[in-house]
Amino acid sequence: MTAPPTLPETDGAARGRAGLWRAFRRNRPALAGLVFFCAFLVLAVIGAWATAGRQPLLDPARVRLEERLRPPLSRARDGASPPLLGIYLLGTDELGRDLFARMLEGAWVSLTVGFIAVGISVAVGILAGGIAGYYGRRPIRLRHAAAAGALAAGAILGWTGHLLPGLLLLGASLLGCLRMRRRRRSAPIGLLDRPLIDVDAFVMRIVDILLCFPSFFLILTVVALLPPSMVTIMAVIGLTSWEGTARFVRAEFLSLREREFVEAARALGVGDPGILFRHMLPNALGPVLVSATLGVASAILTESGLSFLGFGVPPPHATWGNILADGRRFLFDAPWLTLAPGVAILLVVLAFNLFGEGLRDLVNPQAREGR
Amino acid sequence: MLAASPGVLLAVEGLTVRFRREEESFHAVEGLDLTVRRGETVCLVGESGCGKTVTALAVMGLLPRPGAEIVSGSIRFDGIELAGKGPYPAGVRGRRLAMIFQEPLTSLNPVFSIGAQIAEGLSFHWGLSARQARERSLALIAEVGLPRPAERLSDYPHRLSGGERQRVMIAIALACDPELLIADEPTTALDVTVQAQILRLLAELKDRRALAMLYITHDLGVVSRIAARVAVMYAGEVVETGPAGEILRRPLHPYTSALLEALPGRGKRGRRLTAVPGAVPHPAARPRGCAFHPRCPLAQPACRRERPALIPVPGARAVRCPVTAPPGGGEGAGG
Amino acid sequence: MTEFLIRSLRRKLFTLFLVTVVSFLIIHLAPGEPAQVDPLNPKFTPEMVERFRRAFHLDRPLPVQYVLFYRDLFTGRSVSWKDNQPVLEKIGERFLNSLPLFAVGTLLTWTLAFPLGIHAAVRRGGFFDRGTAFFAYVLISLPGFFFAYLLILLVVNTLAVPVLGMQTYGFENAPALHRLNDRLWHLLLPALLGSATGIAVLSRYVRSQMLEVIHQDYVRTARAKGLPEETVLYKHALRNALLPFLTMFGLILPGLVGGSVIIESIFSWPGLGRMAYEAILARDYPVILTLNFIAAVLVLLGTLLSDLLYAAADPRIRLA
Repeated sequence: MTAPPTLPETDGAARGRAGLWRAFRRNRPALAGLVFFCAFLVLAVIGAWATAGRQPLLDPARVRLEERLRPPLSRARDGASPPLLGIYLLGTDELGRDLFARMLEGAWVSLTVGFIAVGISVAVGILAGGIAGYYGRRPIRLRHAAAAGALAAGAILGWTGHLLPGLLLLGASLLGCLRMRRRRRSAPIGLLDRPLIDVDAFVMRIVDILLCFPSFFLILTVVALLPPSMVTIMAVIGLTSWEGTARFVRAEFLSLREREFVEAARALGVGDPGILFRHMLPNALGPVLVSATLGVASAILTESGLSFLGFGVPPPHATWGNILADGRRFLFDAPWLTLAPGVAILLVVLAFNLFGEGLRDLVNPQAREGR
Repeated sequence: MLAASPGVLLAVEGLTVRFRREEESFHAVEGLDLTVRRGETVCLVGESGCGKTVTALAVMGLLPRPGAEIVSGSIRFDGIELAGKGPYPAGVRGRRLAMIFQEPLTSLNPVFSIGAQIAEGLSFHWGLSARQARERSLALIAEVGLPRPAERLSDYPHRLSGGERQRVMIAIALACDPELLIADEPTTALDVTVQAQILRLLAELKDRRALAMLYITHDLGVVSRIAARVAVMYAGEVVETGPAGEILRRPLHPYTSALLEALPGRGKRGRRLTAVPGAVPHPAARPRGCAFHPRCPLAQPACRRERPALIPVPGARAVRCPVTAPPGGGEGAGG
Repeated sequence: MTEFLIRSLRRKLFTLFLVTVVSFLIIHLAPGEPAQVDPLNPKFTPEMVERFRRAFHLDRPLPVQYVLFYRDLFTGRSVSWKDNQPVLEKIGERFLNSLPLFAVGTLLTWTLAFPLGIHAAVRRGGFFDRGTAFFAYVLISLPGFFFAYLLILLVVNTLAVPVLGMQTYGFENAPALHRLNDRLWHLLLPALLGSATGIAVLSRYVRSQMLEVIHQDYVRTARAKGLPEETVLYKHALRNALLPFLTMFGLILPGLVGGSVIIESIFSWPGLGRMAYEAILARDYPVILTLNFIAAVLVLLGTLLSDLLYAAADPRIRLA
């Protein structure tokens, strides 16, 4: 803005990867976040290994009723199946299960929930936003809608047991789609070519609808209605949180579409997928990565909130959320049951947030200058 | 020496500005001397990145903070020290000393009306009432040549073209009758025809108001039209200074010559324009010796080693090049 | 202007219609049945189940059910499946309970977040900035209910103030002042908790917005006019930095329904959020769908409101 722009060589973009890494390293909190996250990842992997199998090193499911609610660091009394080294590192819960082992198992589960949920959300968001931003003004015509409707109807018919009519309808609509591709110009009737709504408006309308549901309320409703399972929770969190990514990718694509290098690629005859994936997506990826990092943090928090309300990942899986939620009944008698998972969630989410913010500063150098 | 002479309005001596960005630190301006007399127009010329804007911002006390600071030197405006340790002296900026910027499109606040933005300085510096401020704003808008001033007063910046916005910026700058106007490449962001209009407006205004002006540009072509004196900057230093006509006719420093060569103009029709080879070095990677030697056609071994001093030349000129300075004009190289 | 309103309303009504369809489908296509109409529920004989199904139109095809349901909703005839109370009445009562919590929470959020964020931006890199940044990140990263329990532990143990529910049991006949005091205590903690994350997020956002604006050319112009630094910051920069928050202002409305499920559950606060939770637990479809409808209306109203506010504040925006 004032003087620095006269020194363009020092800008992040020109400095390349090494420069970016150097700039990132200077952001102490973000670096701490990254280090902590890596440590956590290692811990989760070790945890998954140590708590799995028939004869695990640390058994998170072993019930020892005579060892209930032992405080942290207490030595196991003589008895069957002592924990590792004979010490309950973080104490035991109301069933005498080793909290340390449960926390280790939970680390892996929480991480899985966070990553898969965000993976789904990012994938859907990029797809929806990319389509809206790239195809933007192209109209969806009546024939497209009819074909999609026929496809859906066929699928539903087939799914509900009317196999033969369903398959027939499915086949017919697929044929119709193929014909449409081949002979674009000569649709038989003008009516079928009537534009209904353009692609961008269509996708954005879906986003509008999604935004009308308060997100936690929606997640809660769907999770409560569906049979409880880890897959449901990951899918629901993922499918209800993609609109931010979609909006972002769309905006980015809208502006990239007009840029010279995309024009040049098009002029060279690069096809739509090539332009989308090779030329445009990499440019939009940085901010998506930022929102994904922050998304993992919020997915872990959402899971713990659901656990608190009794709709979290169901037993026998231990997650930090359901350890915390179960521990609250013993808040006064066994505070470690609340503190251990609470602090663990705090630290991991904090690490993700700090790392994400650091990434954001890198991706958006303007914000960096303000620091 | 010049600061003491009568009629000097702005005297910059030995100005050094340091930038600190993340881990690197460098001098964007180093040991800069510059004077502007009352009613005189001085052009500060140089390629982008040579420290012109930094000099202007230092005079205005608008260097980006944190990041830039004046390390040494003095800036005296009518005897008032502007580069002191304490806060920037009150009653100078915006009142006796004003500035217009390179980017008229972004330099106006989008949420306030034109009238409000002109009147603001008037009510603050002169204590005018809303009504008086409005009347004067109206006169100013008319003076800078905007049609239908009364309507413009309540308009918002986004309704104006780039040229119109620069006119508004000029009106804002001139609101409190400043003695010195710093114009930082005011036409660079504008269309060619609009550039000419703005330049003509500034030339008119300085004559009518007896305004002193420090005009910053990278375009030597502008110099002949507006300036009495020129200071050519390169890599944070003044490399040549003197009367505009003299320098344009008979440049001494190789850099000035190169800039003139690159200029399209009369008598050059049909000839190939020569670009100055290479680019201005980043101030953090300033070459040893004469900063220009890597690009200089006349460079000699000594240029690589010793940093030349500004050598006075007869005719109120000075040049920072021992190779081209006429013999006997100064004490020679070194120092 | 009117043209914009009409077009925007038409669009939003259409979106609302789609929302009703989608939410209806989500509820009715999900596997499982509410207890009253579940043929596996031993409490109900097949005849009773049949009667319920008829009473709730569950024997009709889905599109007809849809029409009947929303007809009942708009005519105020729809009743909760759990206790046969009219849905709107139930919601109205809970709404009045939620309102003070929501109002105090929102007020806390907006009055605290702005000064904090602006101050941090102006003194960026300083002690205050680092301190608030640290606290903000911790608040954002804490599971809300964990934080709530820590606070409850603290308040109950050190101040000996009972905080669960809307008032202390047995205080109904206490002197008015005493009762008010009791109510305020009961209100303050949940409101503070409900707004904690909001304050943290919003203040960070205010800070970054302010920082971005501080570097704009027009702020430099304001400085070049020789105006005092306070005028530059709080007039020229702040006015521009605040613009995006007008759009957010409209978006706080839906928080009335969905924002407080967890907080209200912890504090046994009989508000809308807990009602939604209980309705979901009991698969009380009319209540869920009505709450959802209200939430959607609030969202759409909120966006309209922010559009209008934005147009009023930013001269560059013309509603057309």
